[in-house]
Amino acid sequence: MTNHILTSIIFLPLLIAMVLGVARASIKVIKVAAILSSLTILLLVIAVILAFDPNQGMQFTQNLAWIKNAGITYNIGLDALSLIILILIAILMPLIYIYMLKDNRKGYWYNMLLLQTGVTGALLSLDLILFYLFWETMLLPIFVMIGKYGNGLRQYNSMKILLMTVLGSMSMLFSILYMGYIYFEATGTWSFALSDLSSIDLSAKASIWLMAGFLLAFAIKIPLVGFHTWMAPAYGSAPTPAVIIMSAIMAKLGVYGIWRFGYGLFGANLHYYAPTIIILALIGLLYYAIRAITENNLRKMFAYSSGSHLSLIALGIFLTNIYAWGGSLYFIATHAIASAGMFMMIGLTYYRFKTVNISELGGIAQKAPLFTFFFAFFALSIAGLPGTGGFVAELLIIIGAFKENFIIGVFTATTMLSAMIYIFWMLQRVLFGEVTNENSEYSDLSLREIGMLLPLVLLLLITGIMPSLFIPYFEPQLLGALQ
Amino acid sequence: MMQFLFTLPFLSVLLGAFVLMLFSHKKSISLKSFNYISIFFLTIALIFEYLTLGAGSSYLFESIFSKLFILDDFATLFDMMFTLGAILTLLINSDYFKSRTYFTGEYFSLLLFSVFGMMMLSHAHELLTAFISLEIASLSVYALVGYHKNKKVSSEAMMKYMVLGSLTGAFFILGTAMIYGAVGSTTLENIALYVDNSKIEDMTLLVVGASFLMITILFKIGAVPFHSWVVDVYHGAPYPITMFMASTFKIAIFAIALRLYIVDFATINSFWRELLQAVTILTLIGGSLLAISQSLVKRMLAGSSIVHSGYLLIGLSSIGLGSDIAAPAVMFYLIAYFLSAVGSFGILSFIASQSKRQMSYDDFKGFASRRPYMALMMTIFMLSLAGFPSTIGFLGKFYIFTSAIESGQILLAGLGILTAFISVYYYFKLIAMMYFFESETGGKKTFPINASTIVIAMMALIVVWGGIGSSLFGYLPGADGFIDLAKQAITSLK
Amino acid sequence: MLALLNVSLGLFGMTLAYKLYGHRAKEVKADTFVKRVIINKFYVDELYEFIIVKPLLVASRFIANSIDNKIFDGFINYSILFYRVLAGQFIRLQNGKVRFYALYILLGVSMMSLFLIYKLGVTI
Repeated sequence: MTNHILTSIIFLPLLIAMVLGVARASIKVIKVAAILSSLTILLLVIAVILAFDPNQGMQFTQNLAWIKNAGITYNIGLDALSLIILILIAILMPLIYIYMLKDNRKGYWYNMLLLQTGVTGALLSLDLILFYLFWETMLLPIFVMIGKYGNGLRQYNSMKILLMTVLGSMSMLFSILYMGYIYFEATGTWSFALSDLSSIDLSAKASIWLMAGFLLAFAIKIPLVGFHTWMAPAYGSAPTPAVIIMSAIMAKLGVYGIWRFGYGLFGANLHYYAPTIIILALIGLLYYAIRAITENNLRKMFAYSSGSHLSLIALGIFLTNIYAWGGSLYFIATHAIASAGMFMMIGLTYYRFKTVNISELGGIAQKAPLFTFFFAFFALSIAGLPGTGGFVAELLIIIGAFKENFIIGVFTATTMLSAMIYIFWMLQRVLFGEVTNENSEYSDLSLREIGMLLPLVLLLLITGIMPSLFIPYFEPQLLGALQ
Repeated sequence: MMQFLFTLPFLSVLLGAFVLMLFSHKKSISLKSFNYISIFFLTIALIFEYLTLGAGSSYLFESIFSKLFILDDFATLFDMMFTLGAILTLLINSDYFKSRTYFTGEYFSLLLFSVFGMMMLSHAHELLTAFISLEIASLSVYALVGYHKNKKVSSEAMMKYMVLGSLTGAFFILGTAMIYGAVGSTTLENIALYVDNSKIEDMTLLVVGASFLMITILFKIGAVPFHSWVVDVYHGAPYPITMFMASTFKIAIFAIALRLYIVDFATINSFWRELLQAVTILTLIGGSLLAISQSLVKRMLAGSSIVHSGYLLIGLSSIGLGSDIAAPAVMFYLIAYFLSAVGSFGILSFIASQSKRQMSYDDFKGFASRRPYMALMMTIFMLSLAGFPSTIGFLGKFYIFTSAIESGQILLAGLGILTAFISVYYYFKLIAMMYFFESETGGKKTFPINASTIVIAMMALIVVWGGIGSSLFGYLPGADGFIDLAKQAITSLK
Repeated sequence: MLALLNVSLGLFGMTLAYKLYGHRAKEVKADTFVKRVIINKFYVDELYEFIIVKPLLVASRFIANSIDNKIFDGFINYSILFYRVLAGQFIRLQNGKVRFYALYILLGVSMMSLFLIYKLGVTI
């Protein structure tokens, strides 16, 4: 059972989607099946957590020969870092399904099922070709979600995100193939397994080029500043479930990729790019935050906000000390929860007012106090309100930054404040002020909506108040990696 | 007696061609029957080809034909692809024949003749035989291209193809003459002996002759700068022919190219290194430039077939530079491209059989809501052509690029990946058209279950299975099976 | 001593407030400089607006309109445009005339011959 548990977690949604598709199930059946699958996966993940041993490295591994002639294996496994993101996926998917409950378009549900398989597979694969497969295929549902179910310039924007991310993954493919060849030259057999490829000795010059291939893919996915022009249009056009996955999971996979494949393959050589990435991340922090101030579209504003915070996470990954790394990991989790909540609120806003433009909103607080509370809570927890998980994480990263270098520390600390500016100003305009939508009848949050938001609020509070509950899970691995 | 078994595929196809020709004037026989008759003969050929696979290599009736025809797994595998390609062409287009009035019995006869020519080509072990076989195949295809006699585009395409084809065909004869002058024989065995035993400085005549042979080959596969006919001819030809040319005829050229390259000129391959690389670069870039600027889907696929030739050329030049996996990689890529091209052209032809419109990108708007299953299959073929992972097309590119890296052609591998990126644009544009736009005409149509659609659906399954299926899942030959087959064929050459 | 100062200051403030607002209060006109400064809350809002808010807004608009659109997106758009133009030029070679096509083939053959002459070291 333990051998196949990860495989089941990856492929259950795909299997269900295929069965439903072949059986041409009705929308009701699809909904029930999707929710059941996500709950099953949640249970499986809980089983994984219970069996997880923080003091060991890779666990639950499964290694099968797949395409023998090319040395491609089906190799999956899990460590503390992937566990964090796996938990996030498992928690967010049922909530997203609850969010989508009233949506009757079949394609929507199929795409979400496929998307879950894609992101989970990319997260857990330890073979580079397998990773590439999932990394590319998880893009397809997003492409369709934006292009078919999105709004605005949806066709153009979906093409843009597709092409930019494919450009990144193609460069990664080149690096993967080249590394496979180097391994072949050294040993005489083909292999693309992470454990095999990490054992080869690369010359400094070669590794610089190969790292660039990987980093380009991850930089586009995160996105670091300069590679980001797909982000705001895509977030702006995408339907809410897709935005949640993009911001909460897929962007995190970019950072995860740097960790797993960047550090996994190149080790300390990766520090060749540390100054570049740190500078890009610091610029990005400020750049996105400033850009967000005048953004009128709420989705786009939080797209920039997401970019800003992911820059911070990327920064933390490249500061090699336990505080920064711990903070980054912690931030991956808390930011995912907070941004999922925020984008859900934005989705609910659109559902009520048929607009997400700040200039057309206002005075919500007078009519919908619960709505206001949740909206403000998620917005503030994104800004790093003390008492929420984001605060702990940001604090850890700042400490790490000061440990590394005083100037970086000062920069990080000051730029952290920048999130406050746009969030408070946004809150003031959206929630308070004049009631602009006088005509539209809107109601406060329904029970279903509270039901899907409350878990997120609780998680943010628990992670904020009791970080000691979680940190022991990943600390041993980080300490091990630092040596 | 064993020899006779080997000739059965030839005989069956040839007999079929003659039978069809003799009866073609009879009005009482319907097109459908002609179709079934030709499929019958081709199937017999296919069965015997399958039976003779793995029988080792020998010469066909050596006492009569001397060493003109060789029998080996390489040739047999190619034969199987030709016959399979022809069968699929006939099956998939059975609707198309009905919808067009200009098809007659000769069409099937010509198709079988061209298959016969290709089969001879893959077995040819002598340059003049190769030329004759090539011309048998080509002449039939010329006639087929212009089959819609009353349509200007079709006749024009035939003229272009024939004039240019004859022009480059002349180079083949010229090259053969030069090689004969140098070697004193035109059998591949003697040429190989000569090449192995002389130094490159003494072989000027042979090298020039071989280069001229290459011109014909490059022309037929549509390498830049010999590509200019491709888009026009593919556009002008009726859909079944376009499909046949893109999938089957192109493969036939590689049969002779690989044989020449691996058997004869193996030791001097690196001589053409820069030349091949230059042609490859031009082909990759030129092809994607052509493909990206087309508005008709058929022309886009024609342009993209040039790009695929470019990938195959990467593989060819890697063979010359000593990559072990390059030759199987080329074979595998041929299989992958064969499957995806047959499928995508098949769908085009299926749609064309329902309407008489030229199919531009815009006509695909809302296709997914009209025909969801067709759209899904088209998507699979597009993904495979674009080299998206989890399809056979990805593995094809995977092998080609690794072989390029293995032979030290980093630049070519990089360029290949770049053009693969560009190809994502024009293939996904079609997917976007199918799914992201509302249908302008008509509502949902039912999925008709007949020979064409079943075959196309099977192709789609094979394309996916060839990308992910493997030894993980028992005895079904997936991705591994195809490359094993390719390796087996290549080994039989040496 | 300090306590006395506090108390007296407090008393002074109270008296001032009473004089201004309590006893026969009338609207205060900001006629003197001191009054104006105090009424405008020491201009802290304006100062804040001027030093922090304005530059941020200007920077934000600048990023939105110039850097994002013209530099980052511009780079992408121009490379697409470059490719389009290149394709447009290339496709003009595809003019449908068979004599031109034959010419391309002959050009290709000529280039190949040049390559052969060069590589084989033929001296003319």
